[in-house]
Amino acid sequence: MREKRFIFWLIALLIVVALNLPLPATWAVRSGMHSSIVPFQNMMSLVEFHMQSIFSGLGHSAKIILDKRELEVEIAELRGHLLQLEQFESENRTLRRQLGFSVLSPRDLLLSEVISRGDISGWWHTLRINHGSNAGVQMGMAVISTDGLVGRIANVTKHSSDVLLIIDPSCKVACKVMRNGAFGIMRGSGIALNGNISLEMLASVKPAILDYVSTQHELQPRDVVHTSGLGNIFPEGLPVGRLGAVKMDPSGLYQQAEVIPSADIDRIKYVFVVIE
Amino acid sequence: MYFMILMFMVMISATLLQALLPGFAFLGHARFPVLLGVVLYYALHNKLWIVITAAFAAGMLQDGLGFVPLGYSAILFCVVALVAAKYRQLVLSDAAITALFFGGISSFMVNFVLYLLLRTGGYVSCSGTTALVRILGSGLLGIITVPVVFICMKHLYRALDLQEKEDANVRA
Repeated sequence: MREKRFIFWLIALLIVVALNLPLPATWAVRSGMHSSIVPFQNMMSLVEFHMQSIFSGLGHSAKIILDKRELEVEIAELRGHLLQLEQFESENRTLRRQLGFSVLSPRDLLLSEVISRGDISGWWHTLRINHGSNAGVQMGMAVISTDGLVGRIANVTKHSSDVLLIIDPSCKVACKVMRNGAFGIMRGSGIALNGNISLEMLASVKPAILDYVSTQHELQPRDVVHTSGLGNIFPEGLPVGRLGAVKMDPSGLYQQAEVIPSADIDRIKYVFVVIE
Repeated sequence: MYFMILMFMVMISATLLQALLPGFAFLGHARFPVLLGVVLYYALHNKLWIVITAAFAAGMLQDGLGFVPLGYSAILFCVVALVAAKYRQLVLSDAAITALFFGGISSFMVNFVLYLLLRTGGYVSCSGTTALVRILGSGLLGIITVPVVFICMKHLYRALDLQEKEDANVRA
């Protein structure tokens, strides 16, 4: 009986300690838990990938052969483009040097695989990727896909990192409308509550909101939005999305616009961490 | 010792399952409360110190692997487990309706209080409507998930020949 009472009070004490842990200790606890669970998540992600490959292979073998041929053609074309871009880069570097401009350093991108989706409690929109501090990932780094901005690193452990997605209401991004240079702050709107009844309802993304845009700039639907680099959280020039509906802020002082993210956040499998 | 190792493995499996199962947009992306289901199963079938240990472990796993501050889910799971354990003599612990009822109410309450805590602490900034949909959604998912968790746990403990031990624990 005494032993049971001891365990009861020990757990009560542990809860109090957990609630009052200093930040470094909290990170250490989280890091330990992540490290112990990530190998299993990696394994499950791998199993999921193989299962998908097998089932899609069984059903669409003819399509796969055609896709392969198309991809080979696309790779050849892209290699051609790459050669051309390398020539342009070299020329650009020479010209910048001749004009006395500093040479821009290219972004260092780390390809990572998504191993799980969504926060386990369900209150945040996140992704977990298979690279952590051992691969050079740090808190706050931007995460992009081939289409555009995905989010920022919000939690790092040795072998994995959590990405807070741009669709999460707590993720704010300083943006710029490319057509007229109007600045604004984009915040996520989460998910749509009335999606179609299909598998898509698993993750139907609502457009984000671009706030605090000066009324002096005229905004138009389909305007391209990039990161502005203000606030030093996201680097400048990362593609974010396109504008949707534009309206006045309820206060009448600013404009507000919907932003449709360019990245396909629902189905993303691989992302790049911008290591700068 | 064997029991504790098994409990630990069940917790890890439940965590992985909860992380793997996707949330539905029309339920506010609430997750399937697998961990809570495991905690409720222990609360209705085991001694108090096992119940409280399981609740603490499940809560810490949920907090540690997500963005919730450490200890929030642990304290809520412990409260839910203690309440369920208090009333287990009044209910049929193996009946589906018990799992259904406890699952729905507990999941709803845990998410409701968690939202209040997170909102007060400034950790989440979703709209009230989204939060309401998510809380109701979590209640609904609790109704669906917890009976399934109970069936799986029952089969697991029966397969490992630990069922009789558990029943003795409840009577004690």
